[in-house]
Amino acid sequence: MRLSLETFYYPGEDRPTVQGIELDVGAGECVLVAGGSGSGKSTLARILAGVLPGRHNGELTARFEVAGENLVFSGTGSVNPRVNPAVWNRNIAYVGQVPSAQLSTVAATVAEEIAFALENAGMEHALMKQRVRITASALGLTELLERKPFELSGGEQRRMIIASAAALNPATLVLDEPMAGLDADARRAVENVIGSLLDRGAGVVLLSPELGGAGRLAGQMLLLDGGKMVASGPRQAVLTSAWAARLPVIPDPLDAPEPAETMLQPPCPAPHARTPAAALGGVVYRYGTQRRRPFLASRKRAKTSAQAVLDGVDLALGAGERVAIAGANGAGKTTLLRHLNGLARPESGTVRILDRDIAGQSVGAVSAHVSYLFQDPQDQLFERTVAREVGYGLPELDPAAREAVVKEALRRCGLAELAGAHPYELPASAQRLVALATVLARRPAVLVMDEPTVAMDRDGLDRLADAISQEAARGAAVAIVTHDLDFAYRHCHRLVLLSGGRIVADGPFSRVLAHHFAGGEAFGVQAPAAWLRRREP
Amino acid sequence: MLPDSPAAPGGLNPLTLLSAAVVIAVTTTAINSWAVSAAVLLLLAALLSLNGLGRKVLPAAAVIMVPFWLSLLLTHGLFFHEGRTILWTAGPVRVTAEGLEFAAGMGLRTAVFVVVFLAFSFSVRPADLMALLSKYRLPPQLGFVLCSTLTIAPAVSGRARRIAQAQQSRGLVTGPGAGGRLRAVRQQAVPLVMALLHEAGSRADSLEARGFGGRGPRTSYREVPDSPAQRIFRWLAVAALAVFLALWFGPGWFTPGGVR
Amino acid sequence: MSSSSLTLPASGQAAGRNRRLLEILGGASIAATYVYLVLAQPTDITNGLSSGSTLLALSGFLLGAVLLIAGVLPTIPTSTLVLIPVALVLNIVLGQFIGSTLVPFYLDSIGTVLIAVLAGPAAGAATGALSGIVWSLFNPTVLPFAAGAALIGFLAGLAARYGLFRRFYLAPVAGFVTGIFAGVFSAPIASFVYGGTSGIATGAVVSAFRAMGDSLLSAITKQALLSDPMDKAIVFSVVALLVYALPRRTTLQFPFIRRHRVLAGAKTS
Repeated sequence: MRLSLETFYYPGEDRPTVQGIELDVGAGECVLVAGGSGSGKSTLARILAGVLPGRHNGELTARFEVAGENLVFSGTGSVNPRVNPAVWNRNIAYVGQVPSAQLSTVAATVAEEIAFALENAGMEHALMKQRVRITASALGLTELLERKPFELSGGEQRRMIIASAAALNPATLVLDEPMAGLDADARRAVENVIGSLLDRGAGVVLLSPELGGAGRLAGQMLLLDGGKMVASGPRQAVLTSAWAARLPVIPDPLDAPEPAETMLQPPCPAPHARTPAAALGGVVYRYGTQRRRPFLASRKRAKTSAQAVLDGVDLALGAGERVAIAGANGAGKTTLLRHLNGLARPESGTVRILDRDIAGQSVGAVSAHVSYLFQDPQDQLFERTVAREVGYGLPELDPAAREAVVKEALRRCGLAELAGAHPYELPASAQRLVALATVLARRPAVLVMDEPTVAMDRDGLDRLADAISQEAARGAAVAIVTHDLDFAYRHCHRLVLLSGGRIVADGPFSRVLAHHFAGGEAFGVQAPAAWLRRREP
Repeated sequence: MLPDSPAAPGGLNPLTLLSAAVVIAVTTTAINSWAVSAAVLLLLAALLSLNGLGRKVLPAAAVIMVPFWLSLLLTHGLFFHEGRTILWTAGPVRVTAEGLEFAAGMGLRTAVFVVVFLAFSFSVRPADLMALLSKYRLPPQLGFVLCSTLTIAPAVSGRARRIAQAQQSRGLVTGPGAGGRLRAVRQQAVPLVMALLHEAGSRADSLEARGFGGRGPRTSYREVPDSPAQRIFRWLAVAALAVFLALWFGPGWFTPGGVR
Repeated sequence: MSSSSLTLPASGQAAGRNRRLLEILGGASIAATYVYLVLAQPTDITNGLSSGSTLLALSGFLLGAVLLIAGVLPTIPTSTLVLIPVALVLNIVLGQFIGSTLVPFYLDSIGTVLIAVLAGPAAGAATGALSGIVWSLFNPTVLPFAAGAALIGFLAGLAARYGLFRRFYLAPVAGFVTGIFAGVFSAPIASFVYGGTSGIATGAVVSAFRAMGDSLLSAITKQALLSDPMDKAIVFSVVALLVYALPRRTTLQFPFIRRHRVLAGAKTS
């Protein structure tokens, strides 16, 4: 497959979203297309998928060479070819970003989801059964075949969708950010899937802001910035230019030309004073015990969830502390966080904020002191402009003071120029920054964040790191739940490990690492690569 | 009908169940007598209870039928001025035997209709319907809408809950009065609709990239149970229904207010 | 299978003609059933309603709805098709949510009207009809109203097509008018198939008209004219509120909105 793309415009826009891209993928070859948020990766992926321009009416000027056919798109006009998706996907298959949005929603089992493209191609039944079996075993999905697609974890869903795209044995697969939001185990599993695809002789186009992880499978690499291709060539050669151009891509901690500043920076110092800002005492939590109508709910629930999600958790967060909370999926991290602002209420035990028990206080009332940054920023945003969004519900009544607060929060998040934009029209990383700005503007005593690094590009990560250290310096207690221990290692001084609803380790970051991570991994969490390297010499 | 509802009893094809449901519903409606409807209803209840479906179907039917019955009683039990046999009057209220009979007839006939079709939907898997559409070369889009609605419904209400929680966490308060409520609706509905439209866009890409909506024939991975006996039963049921309707209504059936 | 071409030929006409025929047959079936019901209304219901009329109403409307769906669905692009399940869920979820705050209306067509505004009358009609059919899996009594729901979706799409959503104050007016059509259309179904209404509040209104000496059909029609126009006016307003709160890039991605300049300020293309 070969693509040389001049420009692509979305309808009604006067600047091309992507331009000047040369891509060549051979059999068994992996090409990494790296770029920050909003660099045009997803648009390029959808052009490769044959979805754009399609019915979306964009203007594409490009030349495709697919399966020996030449396709020429020449901007506007009705003479442009219309891609037939039913044949296209036998040559180039596509997997989009959010796995749950990729499900066909008509398949009752994983096997049917994998067979979906085969069904649409009209494959004969016996052949289809065989093909599903072969694909599943090649990609390590055999034990999932009878499960229900909607009940799988994010990582399992991602592997299933890749298998579904691979079932037709396409020459090339286009994978858009296949690692986003996955924990260490799931990332490894997806990496293995991509490895097996390459072994089977498929070409893979990987689009991601990360240079590491699955990106290491790539021989060739292509850098995108502002929709333009700024560099391409063998991976090692391009890595250096990524740093030279200061692109917002995320470095591979294991790579050779590492940025000196991040590696040599000492781990975070602990704060001096420790007046507790938030404290959990003996918190036990089970699903279903907080229902308003326990009489109706209890009988059914009691059997299914006797297991406690949180099983006697004691945790105090001091003012000025920066605490990372880590653990495998299902360890109870998010549930713990939700107790801090009253979204979850303990079955037994107490939650105290600024030395007052919050039992009986509404979530809205607790929010005066505790700000919560959610995993999905879109759930949190609802105003028409970024400025209104950040100004929403601030305690300052004086408009001038209010405006000053909003301005300052926007400046800190690098959003000053986007104040008038619609929050939903921003790229993912900027949306997360808007959500962060809404939190900063409130100057909370306790700041909790659920996976704040997910979907952030490097610029976003830098702003997030600054915000964490400034808030802590101001005297706020900052707690982040994350599986990105590399980030946490650089910006938090204390590490709390959760496993099976209990705190299994809690203390200064380096000490917890030294105690538990001699093997590089513990409790389903991978040690920070920077720490491992520091240890080695 | 839930994505994980049990397989049809005894490996029955959805079409077999559907034809049985149609025959029962149409004949009771045609006969239109409260006694017959009541008898059919009792028989159905007994059958479903033996089958184990009764515990799901009957409460669901009750939720629909109780307000409906009360509404009918209110309308026809109290104010049926065409009625002649007056049982009780008070001011404008006139309880008549004809009114009560009318309400009972309509109420029971509808109850049969509701129970029979609820039983059908509770015992059929949506994925099977999708497979049947492919088999008979009918537009797969119909099956998609059906299955997809049932699959995404729990995800959507989960998302609505998450949005409400995230907004509470930002100190969202509902203002007083209709204006405040309307603002709250906008604040909660906009993120929900946005997220759903966005997700639908990704889903469209994913479906198209896997060849859905193409022009060629579609096959199905899923095998739907069927047997020659069931096929014969279906044809017989439909033929018998046609014969019954022809005999029951006869030639003058369309006379207004005519044959019952 | 072995077709080598990666691209589609210019769209064929024969298939299109068949589909159009299905749409026309579906519409005709619904219209004919309606006319028959209005003409054949019994003068004296002491004999009970003719069960032949009931069956005819059921089968005529259902057949019409199914034909419409069969005609429209295959022509709808996938990007619109995926919105229909979303609309059906919104009908239920938003209907419940708003219904819990503003009491005496059904508000069960927000999703249908939203799709009609975004994607046009045909998609709106299909969404309405499908909404009736899918909802009937949980509540079979709504099945005969599928044709009425299709009418609402169709009229909402027409309103959007002719610019009634460009001014905010016109949306409730369009909703009110749609409600009059919807009420007049669904009243005979309620009276012939069910002999009344399914809710207690609506039943009380019907009884009040009956107490004043109205026939069953006219009592139900009057009840429908009391609640439907108001209901649809609210639904259209809520949808207008929603589409204007959505970012422009989102709404402009719908060709129907671009082509007919459905929303104020939107670019034509």
